[in-house]
Amino acid sequence: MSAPSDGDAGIALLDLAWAASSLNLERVQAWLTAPEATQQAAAPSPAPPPAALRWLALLQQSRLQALQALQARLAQRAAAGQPVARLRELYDLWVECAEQAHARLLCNPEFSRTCGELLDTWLASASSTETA
Amino acid sequence: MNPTTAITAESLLAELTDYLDKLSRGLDTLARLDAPPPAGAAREAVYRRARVTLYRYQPLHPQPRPVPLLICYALVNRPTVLDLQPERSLIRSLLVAGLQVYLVDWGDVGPAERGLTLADYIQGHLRACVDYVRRRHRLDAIDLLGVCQGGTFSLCFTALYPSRIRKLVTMVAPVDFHTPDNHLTSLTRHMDVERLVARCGGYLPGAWLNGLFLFLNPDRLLGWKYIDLVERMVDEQALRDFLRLEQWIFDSPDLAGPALVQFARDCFQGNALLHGRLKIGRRRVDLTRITQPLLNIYAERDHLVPPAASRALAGRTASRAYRELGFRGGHVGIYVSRGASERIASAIARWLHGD
Repeated sequence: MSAPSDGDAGIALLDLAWAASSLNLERVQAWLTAPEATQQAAAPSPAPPPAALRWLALLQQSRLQALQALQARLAQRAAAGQPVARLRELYDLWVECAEQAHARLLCNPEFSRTCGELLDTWLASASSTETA
Repeated sequence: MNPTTAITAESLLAELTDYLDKLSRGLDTLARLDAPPPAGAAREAVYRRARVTLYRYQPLHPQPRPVPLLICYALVNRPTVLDLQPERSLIRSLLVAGLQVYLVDWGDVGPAERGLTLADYIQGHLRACVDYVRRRHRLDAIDLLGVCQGGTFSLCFTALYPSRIRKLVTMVAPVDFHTPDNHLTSLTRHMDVERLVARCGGYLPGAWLNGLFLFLNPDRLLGWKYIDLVERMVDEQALRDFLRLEQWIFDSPDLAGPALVQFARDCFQGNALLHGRLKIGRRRVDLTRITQPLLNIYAERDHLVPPAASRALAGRTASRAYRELGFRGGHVGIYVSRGASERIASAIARWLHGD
């Protein structure tokens, strides 16, 4: 297998970033197994690698914390007589809560280790395709 | 209506209609936009070494200061961000403030550059550029401004060749890579960068780095930024400014494998610069060899290089004239936000020339 082109790498990584924000396991799995995807389209999907499952579980936990923070902020605003009145305001508040939760996630040593394992999984997947 | 919000079906419909109207008008503006004219300050290439180019900017002051300032930027992005457009240009502001400005542009990494090491960049290219400027101005020492990773390089260079630098300015430069709020370190700490680079063919495509940077704040950088743009899209100038910055953000050059692997392993993973263990070529970088006056500029809301990562430089050098300057903004805002470039450039010029 040849090395990925710049464009391929960028699209793959953007896809992973999207998968992260949408908690989409299938897309994470597709990212990890992208080298095989075109060659083994008919083969049954392999089980998700443990690193991908852990990675998504941590992301899911982070999104849940963001959602809880959003609910708390909405309740505070409503109690103070200043409820959120616009969809855009709600979205801004969500992004604020989500980025704070994501920042905490990035500082989590377990997530850091899992990112390393996720990359190892992808590299192993890529090299096994090369030797196949 | 949800009891925790005051959003109603009617208000929602009105807001969405208004948003779609702005989007529609914004797309019209986008379709009308011409290619933006070249916006950078006038400059000439005065020296080339392989793909590295040294630019000299045309002075904008009738009596420029005699000691020139050489800017060393990071490898991970293009230095064009320092001169994106006239009203948001650190370089132009430095010129207006009376400085003679040179810039090292590392250029693209082609097949011949994929094997470059940190030593090649710092002891080879950067040293050659510094020496060119010294020769041209007949000076023993010049001033050096290192930005972001280029700040780390500038610290290494000054520690290795102290007699060639008169005064040193570092801007949003990482020194301590292990502060608890360093998200980039956290994300890459356990990554096998060497294997990744080998897998990519001996270098790292710039697009990989873009993905990594986006993942530091995906909600803001992949969603909010574009939703928010619609509010300003009808304004041609605002749209042009946005596109210029977007073009810069997604134009990260490829990175030479050995240089990246050493930077990731020694700095991000090993924090070797701070602990005096970093080696460039065969020489150890000892920050206490830096005795020059040193101005360390950091951004207070920097999500890439947290303030603590830059401020860790305090007390690590032997400079008896160390000064810090905090800027209220983020990592990129420090170069491109309106008014910031004038303030920073004026502070740098005052500090360099003592008035």
